[in-house]
Amino acid sequence: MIALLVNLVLALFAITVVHVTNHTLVHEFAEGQPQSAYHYIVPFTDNHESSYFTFRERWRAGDLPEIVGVVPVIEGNLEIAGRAIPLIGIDLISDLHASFDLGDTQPQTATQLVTQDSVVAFGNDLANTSFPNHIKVLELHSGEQSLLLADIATAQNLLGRMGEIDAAWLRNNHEPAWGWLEHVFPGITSGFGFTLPELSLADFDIKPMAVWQPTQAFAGSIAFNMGLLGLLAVLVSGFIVYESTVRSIERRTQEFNRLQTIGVSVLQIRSVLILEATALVLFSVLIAAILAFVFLQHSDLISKVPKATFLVATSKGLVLGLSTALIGVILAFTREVRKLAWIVLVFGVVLAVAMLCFGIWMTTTLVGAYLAVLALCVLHIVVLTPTIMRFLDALVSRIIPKSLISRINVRAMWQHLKQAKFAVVAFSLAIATAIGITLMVGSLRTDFFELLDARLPPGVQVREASSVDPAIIRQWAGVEEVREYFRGEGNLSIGKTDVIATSLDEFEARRYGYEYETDRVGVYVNEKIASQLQVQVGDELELKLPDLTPINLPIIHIFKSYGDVSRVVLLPKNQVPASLLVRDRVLLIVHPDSFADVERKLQETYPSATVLNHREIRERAVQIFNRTFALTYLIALIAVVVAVIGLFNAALAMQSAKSSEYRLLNTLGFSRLALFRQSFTQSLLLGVVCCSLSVPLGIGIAWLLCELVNPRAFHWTINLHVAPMTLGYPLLLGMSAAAVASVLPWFFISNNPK
Amino acid sequence: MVIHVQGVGKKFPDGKGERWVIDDVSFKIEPHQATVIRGPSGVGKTTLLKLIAGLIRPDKGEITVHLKDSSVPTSLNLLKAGELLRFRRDHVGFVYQFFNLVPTLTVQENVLLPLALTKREHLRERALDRLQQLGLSALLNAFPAQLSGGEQQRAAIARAVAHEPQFLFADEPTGNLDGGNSAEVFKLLWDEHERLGTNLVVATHSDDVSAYVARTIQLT
Ligand SMILES: Nc1ncnc2c1ncn2[C@@H]1O[C@H](COP(=O)(O)OP(=O)(O)OP(=O)(O)O)[C@@H](O)[C@H]1O
Ligand SMILES: [Mg+2]
Repeated sequence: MIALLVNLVLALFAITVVHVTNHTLVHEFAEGQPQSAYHYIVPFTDNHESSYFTFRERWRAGDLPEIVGVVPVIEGNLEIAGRAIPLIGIDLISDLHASFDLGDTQPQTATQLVTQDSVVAFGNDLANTSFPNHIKVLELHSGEQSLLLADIATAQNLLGRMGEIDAAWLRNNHEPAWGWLEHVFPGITSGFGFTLPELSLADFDIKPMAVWQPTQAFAGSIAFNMGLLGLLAVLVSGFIVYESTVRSIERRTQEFNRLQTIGVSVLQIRSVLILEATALVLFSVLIAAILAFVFLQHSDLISKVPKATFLVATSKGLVLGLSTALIGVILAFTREVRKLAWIVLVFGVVLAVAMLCFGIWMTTTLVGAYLAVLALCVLHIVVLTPTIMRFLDALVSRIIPKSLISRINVRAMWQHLKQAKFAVVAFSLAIATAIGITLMVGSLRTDFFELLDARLPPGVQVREASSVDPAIIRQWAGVEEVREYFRGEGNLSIGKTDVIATSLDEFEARRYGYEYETDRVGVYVNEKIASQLQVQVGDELELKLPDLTPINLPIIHIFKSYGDVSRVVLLPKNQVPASLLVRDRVLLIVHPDSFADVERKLQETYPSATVLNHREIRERAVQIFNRTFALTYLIALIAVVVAVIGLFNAALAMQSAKSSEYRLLNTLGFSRLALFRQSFTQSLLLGVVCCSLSVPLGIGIAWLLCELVNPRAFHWTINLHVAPMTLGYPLLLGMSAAAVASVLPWFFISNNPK
Repeated sequence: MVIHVQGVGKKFPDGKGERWVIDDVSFKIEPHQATVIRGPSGVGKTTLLKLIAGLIRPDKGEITVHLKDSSVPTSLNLLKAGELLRFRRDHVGFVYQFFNLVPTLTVQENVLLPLALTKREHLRERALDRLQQLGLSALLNAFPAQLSGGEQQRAAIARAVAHEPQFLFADEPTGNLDGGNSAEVFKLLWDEHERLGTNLVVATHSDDVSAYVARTIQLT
């Protein structure tokens, strides 16, 4: 009873902790920025208030019925302690229903922002900054990126741009059909590939909110991983509750037999057991909730435990715990259910193979990709694992180590493995998922860093560079190369795309990872276009510029752009009428010694332009990515810990048989140390087998994630790198977890030899 | 080969307090003697056997053994944990009521295990011959779970004496065997005791043993 209670509490604890952590982190990723509550942006090219008022009138008149909230915005930079810090001004009262995510900000802060001309500062690096007197900082919040937020009037004032408005942010009423799922499995829906509908309104240019921002860009991918791991934690926990219920009932078979002989019906026994299980689950939920709350408060996984989320997590645990425990009670008396007829087995295998083939080759949908992952897991459980086990069985009975002690170890490990089959399968699934996800994220990291290295050569980027004159800059000392990028918008058969025109020479080819060929003329497209248009290198791209000038050029390169949410076409500058484009960006390659000089000169000469150092952009991106990378490890760890509970259960169940063996060996002259060494060796062997079982599946899952799920959900591809270091982490985790889980019961036994 | 038990007592935690299970027991077992320990259930027979086999230590009194090749008696009380372990390993053979065989080793491997532990590989042939005499030659490669109760106890005796220890202890070795098997097990124990010249101490309720033993220690 105690063992069952401990298992229930552990399983429910794991569910609650994983859920709350996931939900909070996903939320944090998705809503770390003030604009995250908005879906579209409408830039006003003349930056004039009147444009905004015109737009608002038309929206109020009923154009754009999908939009439920509009807010005017002004953006710019403030110089603070020698650095340019972005300032965003929004009209806090024009869209009161929006939930601005201002971190832990109290409701009255918004009022104070409006009435006191003050700002809210975000950014870890602003903590020790002294702000000039005219900038009143109301609150300081942590955050990856430094940012100031103010009421629009305050911002206009601070920027010295009275009466100007840069853009309006629009809020959509669109809630995807699976929105509820997000509450049950936080993160999981990010992989469902949700795209906003395209909106248009004459004279205005409505674009999806898609700032180049690594946090935002990877949020989906990372959130999805965490969702998957959370799902796994739930599955394994359910399995544990089920197993321990069934086992505790099995232990009481004699008692039930006796009851039956004195005339108690199975139905009566069952109802008593159901009552018992319900009471036990309720009690465990209570304890688990308290433990989880205390744990979350004291760990630094998340800064604050949101009450509502915590309640959802606890109810999730309750529902899962009750249902699996009750299924356990009902099935415990009908044990035959567990033995699958071979017909069913064959049918299952054929179905799984069919699902795998279908998911990989016959469909390009995301659902197909998930089916393939599921089918792979099923095949692992019903085909690969039994086959390997049979092979190992033959091996173990044939290999006879010379030393008798080693013989005991190998055979005991094997026995353990066979008896704990279910736990081992659950465990290897958990390790495999951990391997799959870590490999995928590791590969993404490698590809992303390669991309950063190529795309951001040592230099400076000037954004909003319409006023910049390259001819002048080229004369400056230390400037080695000046490149111009013109931006506009075009139309593809599938919708709008960003168009960037520049000279597609050897330099640009290197930035975009293209093997340059002098005489090939054509366009580069990003992976999003390639995947949505189903085009390849060599195909002709039909593009219409805003004045409907058609451009038909072959695609000569498809480039990765993990940061971009939008479609992007890179055109050779000489193919586009100059009037259609504005100079948007200028890139300078600068001699390292002159960096500071050039940067300062740029700021002075073009105060309205944004100057960004490539090194800084890169560092920031790397920093953010590494944080998410560490999170993946952490969540993988939690998933594995949940699985370990299952293995631990199985080991505990074999305790009584082991205790007699230990008594015997102790009589024969084994010391406690020798017994421990023996137990440890067996556990380690068990860990090796479990982990080797999970490696092929783990790599398979990683492959499917890279080749199917990511391209279909996020329209980018990842080259799978099976790096020994990345593979090593989950393996080491699994090995030590397996060892701990099977060695722990040893302490119970050895302290109490019968 | 002399076992000398002087004023030995052992207490176990009992509820809140402690209880002396064995209190002030003294006796001496002479070389080559076969002894039976008798007494009602719970009186402490197993505890006494464990004490003289060096599996547990007394809380009072002293136990000394005089080994064949040593000139002075050894006090078990004074041995360090490791030394007690080696005493047990090298000089004691023990037969329990059940679970005398390592389940993951075959009958033959079980019998060879004490030889490997004591590095007395030269006794291998004799140990295997003994298995034959005990009628287990067909079961050499069987695992314990495949043996009957009587076969298991015979294999257990073969294992207990394989390294030819100076002391042979048996705790209810026939507890779960029928009359015929029970008598046979006692005879085998007796035979090995005779042949190897060991001290034999058996704790039992059974009367079958009376035919063999010279001396009875009655615990009350
Ligand atoms: N490790 C222990 N901890 C606590 N009490 C113990 C322990 N070992 C034995 N006892 C107690 O000591 C008493 C004697 O036990 P022991 O096993 O020696 O009796 P026994 O004479 O062998 O009985 P039986 O004939 O039933 O085998 C019993 O009451 C038992 O409960
Ligand atoms: Mg006893």
